[in-house]
Amino acid sequence: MRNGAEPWAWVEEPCRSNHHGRGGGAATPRPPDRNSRPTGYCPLQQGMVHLLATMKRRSFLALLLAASAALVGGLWWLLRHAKPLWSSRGAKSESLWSDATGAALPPQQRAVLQALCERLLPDEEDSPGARATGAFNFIERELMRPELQSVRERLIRGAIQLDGLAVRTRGAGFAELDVSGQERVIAASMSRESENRRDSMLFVRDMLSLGLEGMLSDPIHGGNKDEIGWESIGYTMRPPRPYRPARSSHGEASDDG
Amino acid sequence: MTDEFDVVVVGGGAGGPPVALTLARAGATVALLDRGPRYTLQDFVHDEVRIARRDFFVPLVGTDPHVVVAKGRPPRRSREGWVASCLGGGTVHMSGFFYRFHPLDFRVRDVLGPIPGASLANWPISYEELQPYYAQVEREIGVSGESDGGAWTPPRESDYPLPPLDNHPAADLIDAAASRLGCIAFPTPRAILSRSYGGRSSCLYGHLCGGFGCEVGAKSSTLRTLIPAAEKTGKCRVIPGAMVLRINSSAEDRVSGVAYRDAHGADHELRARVVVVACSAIESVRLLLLSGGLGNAEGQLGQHVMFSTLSKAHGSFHFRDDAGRAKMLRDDAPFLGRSVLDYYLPRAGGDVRKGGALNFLFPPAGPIGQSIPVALRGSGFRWGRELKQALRFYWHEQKQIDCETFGEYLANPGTRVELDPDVRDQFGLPVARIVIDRHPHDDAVSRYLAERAAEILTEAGADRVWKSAIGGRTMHLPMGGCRMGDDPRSSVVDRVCRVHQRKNLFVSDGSVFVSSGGVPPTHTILANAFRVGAAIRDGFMRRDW
Repeated sequence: MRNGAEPWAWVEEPCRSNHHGRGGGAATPRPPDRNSRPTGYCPLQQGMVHLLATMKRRSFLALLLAASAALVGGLWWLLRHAKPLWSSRGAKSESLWSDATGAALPPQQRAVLQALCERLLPDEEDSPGARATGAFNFIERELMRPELQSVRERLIRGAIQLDGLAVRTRGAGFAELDVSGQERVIAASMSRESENRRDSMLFVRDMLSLGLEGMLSDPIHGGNKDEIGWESIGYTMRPPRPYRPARSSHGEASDDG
Repeated sequence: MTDEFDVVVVGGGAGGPPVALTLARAGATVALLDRGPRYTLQDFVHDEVRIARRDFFVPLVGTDPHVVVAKGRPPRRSREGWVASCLGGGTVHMSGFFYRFHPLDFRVRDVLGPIPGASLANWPISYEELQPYYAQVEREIGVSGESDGGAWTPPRESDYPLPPLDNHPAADLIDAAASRLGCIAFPTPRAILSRSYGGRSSCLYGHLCGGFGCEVGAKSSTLRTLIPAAEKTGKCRVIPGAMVLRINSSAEDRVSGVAYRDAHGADHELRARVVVVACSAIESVRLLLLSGGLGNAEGQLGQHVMFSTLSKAHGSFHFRDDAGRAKMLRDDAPFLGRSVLDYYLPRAGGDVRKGGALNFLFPPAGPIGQSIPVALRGSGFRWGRELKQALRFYWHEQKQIDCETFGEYLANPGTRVELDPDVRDQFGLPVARIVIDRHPHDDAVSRYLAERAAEILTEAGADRVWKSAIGGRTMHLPMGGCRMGDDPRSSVVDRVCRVHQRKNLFVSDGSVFVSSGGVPPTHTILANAFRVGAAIRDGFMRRDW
């Protein structure tokens, strides 16, 4: 039920539009037609016609010049800011991520996990790895999902241990080491001499699985940038591709039945 | 419709819809409930992470776990034992390997004799009693296959309604190798349409099949076949999102209906003259236990739980410099589709008394599902440049053919389902605790079958052959817990699957199985459910209820 004194607040419809916009379907009650305007009436359009009819030639040229300058300036501004204005893909994906509600990774462990991911799945000259495919972006998103919180905790614990091992054996945090140093620390963490060998192996296995998921899942999940992960293995993903992450509707109401 | 029905069927997976359809066709009013959602074709997108690797088909471990207690190990929360939680159940995401049980599977105690540590029994029914219902399943849902599968093919009354699916040319390698080893490899029967059938599209031969819902409905799930057919009668009301909390009793020997909570959290009660339980083996046992132990007068409820043994053999066929072979192997066809049943009983003596089926196929489709095993192999794994190199080889320089083996999992006193004393689900009810013991025969049969599969792959020309999952089992195929039998002291339901101590309570899923057979059980679950539906229908005609 609608309340208040003005139940039918007038809303201007777009110019040259005879149909109701989104949200105004056939079932939406029409407002009372107070002014009996013709179909397709547009106040801005009618105003321009009146202005041009009453304007002198010199004034018209000046107006044209000013309008052109404004247009060029506007175009220049748009080009400068084109990326944030037009790259809607990322923003769209984020907004669809409504089930990713967990906290972000702590910065220190985030750096360790990202470096580890890039060592486990390295970029090579002829073959993209975790960095080129954006696999860690996928992992960060996944770890915000409620059902992966135990995995997230396990990975944070693993990152703390790996970082500690790097400091003890090589005198610097894992993320600060060079490639060779990082590889040695990873190998040492899983060696027979390691005190936490079993935990370390599980930790690395988790990261490997997530990293491969990030490289080879649909780009809407944040990895497999521009599908170069699929391209690298010669895989063609056939339709129907998801336009948003597929989500279980367990427990949600259904219109069927 | 009111909240009174002739029949309430709990579970819309493999075991419930055949009963609902049979009774709705006979004019009974039927309510078909499932705790999961009703998916549509539009839900089945190719999103490997969400659909095949997360929780699209099963409840969250955090809210609805099973507790698994393997012998000698501490209890752990798990999603194991959940097949699916949606209308259509596991038939929505199945690979659709639709074998019939062999006649000897129904006489397994007689064939094998006593085996210490196993609780073997014969079924109270024979293959011949089930045979017309196998044919009905194939007709109703659409099964593609070839009748001549060699000596171990169960007797058939007619051809399959649809010819076999098209196979990858590498199937010829398996055919020839099996033949040289004295076996017959034949097209695997599939509940997937090779031709348009019943108003449904034929298979498009996409790569993402097993583990996914079919986007064109060519997979013969009950969601696409029996459930709509039941609704079409105008007698069946389908209620998704309905978690049945308990079965209500009206007398010592009768049930009166069910209580359920809908997806909005509201509680409802349905009255019924007959209640049928078909929630898949683990959850059916749990519901009967939660309802006061219906059928448990002799302590048999939850006993004799089984799974299918599972082991694998893998063959890597390198492209090498042979252009012809490389071209053939690079063919994009998704299905290899070859089965061998010649090892249903072992050919030589030894510690294996009963074998099972070999199912040759390509590795699970999907780039992630195939790449992760390249990294994680056995107890160790590859990483770094070594992994990248292995991935390059896997994807560009070879074709892998796998063989899954299915063998008899011997029912034993140590494998059972009970209510967990500690863990509760989102509804505040105790969850199912699955206690697992292993009979040594299970390990032996899985090893035996993997070795036979490896022999065929080697004979077929694989450059490298290895085995995995020896001693494994697949908890996607749970059976038993409400064993069928004539003696109430050793079973839960009688030969028409009516609970012994209740006149109007039936069970129609895999929980009634007496043995696990040597092939996946889905076809047999559906066939038996049609048989149960016919028995209930006949009871209505006799005015039993």
